[in-house]
Amino acid sequence: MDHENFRELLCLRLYGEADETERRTLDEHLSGCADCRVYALELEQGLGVLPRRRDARDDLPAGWRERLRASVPAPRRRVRISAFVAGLAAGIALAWILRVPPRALAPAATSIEASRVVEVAGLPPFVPRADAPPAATVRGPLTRLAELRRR
Amino acid sequence: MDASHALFERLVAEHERDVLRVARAIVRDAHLGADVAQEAFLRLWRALQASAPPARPGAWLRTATISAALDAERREQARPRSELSAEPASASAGDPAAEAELARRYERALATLSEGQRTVFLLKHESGLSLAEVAEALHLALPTVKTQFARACSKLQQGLRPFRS
Repeated sequence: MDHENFRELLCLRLYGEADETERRTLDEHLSGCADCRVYALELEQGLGVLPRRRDARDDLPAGWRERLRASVPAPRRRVRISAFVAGLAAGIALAWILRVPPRALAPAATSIEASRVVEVAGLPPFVPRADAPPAATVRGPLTRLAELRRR
Repeated sequence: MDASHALFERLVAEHERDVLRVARAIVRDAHLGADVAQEAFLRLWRALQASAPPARPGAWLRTATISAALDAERREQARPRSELSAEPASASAGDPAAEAELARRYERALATLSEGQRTVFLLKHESGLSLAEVAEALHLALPTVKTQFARACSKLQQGLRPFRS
């Protein structure tokens, strides 16, 4: 180690950053080096007067927290937006479930009107004919298609 | 208040003074330091939204603050810094003219340091961080930080010598 290295160690020791080995090495050198002893004194006097503002400078400026909060998205607003979106989606879903298809109304209305006509006209109630085919023989288009395929 | 806001509020309350002190130590300006501290916390907020909270929020914030402060320093380099340099030095009570002269010389000597030396010195001297903490915050090896700090001290001592004599 040269004098430059020892002077660096002096800085570290001044700030309490020299470890045990470094302190011992430095002490051994200082005991035999007048120049470095003078430098150590100058360093203490020089850096010892440097301003340290740490005590006075961690005070919070007025309104600092409020400004910080204002720059972060507010949680309540996000809740409102999500509640609004959820409500809208629920409303749409409910309207879709409860919707009345126009076709479903027509036969019902026709059926009501027909029974009303029978009632007003004083006609006898409908009785199926004895020779009418049973309900099971009434075939829909799919049944007929299947029959045609079989043929 | 949701969980991330509650966590953020807690971290602000726990670390705001440390963050402010580190920021002001580097930028050497009270108002700019407050802005830098805000920027550091906003970086924390964005980090909290993007991923899990840092394992050591204090160390994370220190690194973010130093990074934000150095960014601000580079932006503000052309601006004259008169506010803090005009403040009286708390370590030397006495003649106000002598204190003002010391503060002026101190700022001038600081300006002769490299960015790395200056940052390390200010974090140690003004913020009171240990060099191990400084090394962690700057992601540097401790011997490197020790060397930078010692060289900064030597340069400052030389720069202040005419004042003492």
